[in-house]
Amino acid sequence: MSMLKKAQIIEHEKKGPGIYRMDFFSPEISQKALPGQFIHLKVREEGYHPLLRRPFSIYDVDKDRGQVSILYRVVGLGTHIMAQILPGALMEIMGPLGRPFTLSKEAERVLLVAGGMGFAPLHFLIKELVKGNQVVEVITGARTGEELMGEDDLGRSGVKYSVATQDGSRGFQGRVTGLLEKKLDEGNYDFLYSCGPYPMLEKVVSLASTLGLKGEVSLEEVMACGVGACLGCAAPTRGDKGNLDYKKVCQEGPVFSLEEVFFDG
Amino acid sequence: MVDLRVDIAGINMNNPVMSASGCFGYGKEYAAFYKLKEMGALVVKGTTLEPREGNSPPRIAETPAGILNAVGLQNPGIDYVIREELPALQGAGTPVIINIAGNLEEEYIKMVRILDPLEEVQGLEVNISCPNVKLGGMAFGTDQKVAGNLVKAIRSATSKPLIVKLSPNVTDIKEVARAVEEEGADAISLVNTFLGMAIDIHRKKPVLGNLMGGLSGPAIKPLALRMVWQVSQEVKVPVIGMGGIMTAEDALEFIMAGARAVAVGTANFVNPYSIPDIVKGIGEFMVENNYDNLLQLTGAAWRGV
Repeated sequence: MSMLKKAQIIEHEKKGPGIYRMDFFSPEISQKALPGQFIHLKVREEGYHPLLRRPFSIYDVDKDRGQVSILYRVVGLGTHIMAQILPGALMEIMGPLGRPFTLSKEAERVLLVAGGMGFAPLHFLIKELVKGNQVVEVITGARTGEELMGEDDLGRSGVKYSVATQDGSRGFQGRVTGLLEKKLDEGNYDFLYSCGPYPMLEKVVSLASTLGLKGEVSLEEVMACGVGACLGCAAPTRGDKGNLDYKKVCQEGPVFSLEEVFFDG
Repeated sequence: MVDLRVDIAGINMNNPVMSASGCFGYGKEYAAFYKLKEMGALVVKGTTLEPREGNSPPRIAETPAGILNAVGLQNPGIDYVIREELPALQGAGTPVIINIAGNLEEEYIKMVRILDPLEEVQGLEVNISCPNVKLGGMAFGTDQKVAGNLVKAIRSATSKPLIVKLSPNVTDIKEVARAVEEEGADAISLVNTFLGMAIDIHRKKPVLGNLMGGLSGPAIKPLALRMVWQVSQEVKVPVIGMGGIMTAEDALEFIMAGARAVAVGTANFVNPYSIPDIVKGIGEFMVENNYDNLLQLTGAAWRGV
């Protein structure tokens, strides 16, 4: 059952250049939310510009405090407006929505690969994964060291992680997929989770499939309804017969298996 | 107690607020939010004879107070819809209207023949106005002769209430409306989306994968309202008005312009409770202004000039 509720912003903190974390008080959503799901926000209470809601992956959940958090980068009108909103304000939230990540119980060693803001849904997943007995490793990449997200949170979670920056200011110099190639050469992983820009995911999927590595990715697409009604957020996937099959990122995703995702250039 | 009931071509509706095709899936998406019997009628997503994969993304581009969409009639085909989607709508307590689209006349006729005997289908809405498919679709709706001939053929294949959905992308919508009325349409719904586009100046290319798309949302309301005003005074059959209806006030404007019923599309994406909210708001307006029957408001603005 989907929910639509007004939630108060508890904290709104700048985390990097144009990057913010927003914490909401929403006990209902915090109880229900699973890693990989998203919330659909109305950035402005009144008016028709922007018209549509904005989807954000759930970055963190604190069930005890009834808190739900997102991590976002200012990219357009909606996020520009959001960045001005002060703690204490109410925002209308729909959610939690979408298909969550599968928490693979059999996998002994899991690897998470984040590119830029793709770190957002993976962070919530990491917090759930570390509760189990699996070995969890994270690699995360950004253009610059400043844009690397969540190192403080990763530090607290105690997970083993390494970073890549394109400008070489931190960690491995190059793209996160370069670091991934290195990791895959060194270690044996049973399951891979990834989120990031399309070109990065394409590379991740191709590296994983060469090794026969199973896993899941979270996709992003421009979205309207968020509940599977409008078919606006279609992503190309491989159908049962290997055919092109557009699936709804909002409802059939945003999480898809590595075998499902399809890149048609 | 106000009476919100309306009759569209023999379809008895508890209130005048319907879903606009393509903006409500097959109903289940919004049944998670409220009981579908709160709607006047449910118009399902445009359905074709064979499954369609739809257009390549991006399919949505937000514009000021509007959305461009180019979904391209993605749907699982009529057989699947009847088998997998319609059973869930039986007992929903609201009339179900199937929106049908095709490339060729015979595709429409085949679908109509399949749907005609089905008791769970209360009416058909013929889409001759989709701007996002290469063949057919809007091509049927922009030439009054072609539109008339198609409606004539469909009319002879079914006794079900027949609603024809018109395209606003024409020089004179009154002519198309007259033609489809003459050939047997029981009601006319207007408007479908306006053909438009958006360009990404950084990538120097159109935003939509399909290059062009249909504009909906509050941006088109004045244009749609004008067409409802014109057509409802031109034809005798009832008109279902739509185009950017977000609130009860918007719906009342359409009703006063001459619409017997209204349909809500884009608003659902912003507020999933749009339809019940609008029904409630219309009722409140009637109470406040001492109307007891909705028909007192239908076309009320004609008399004001």
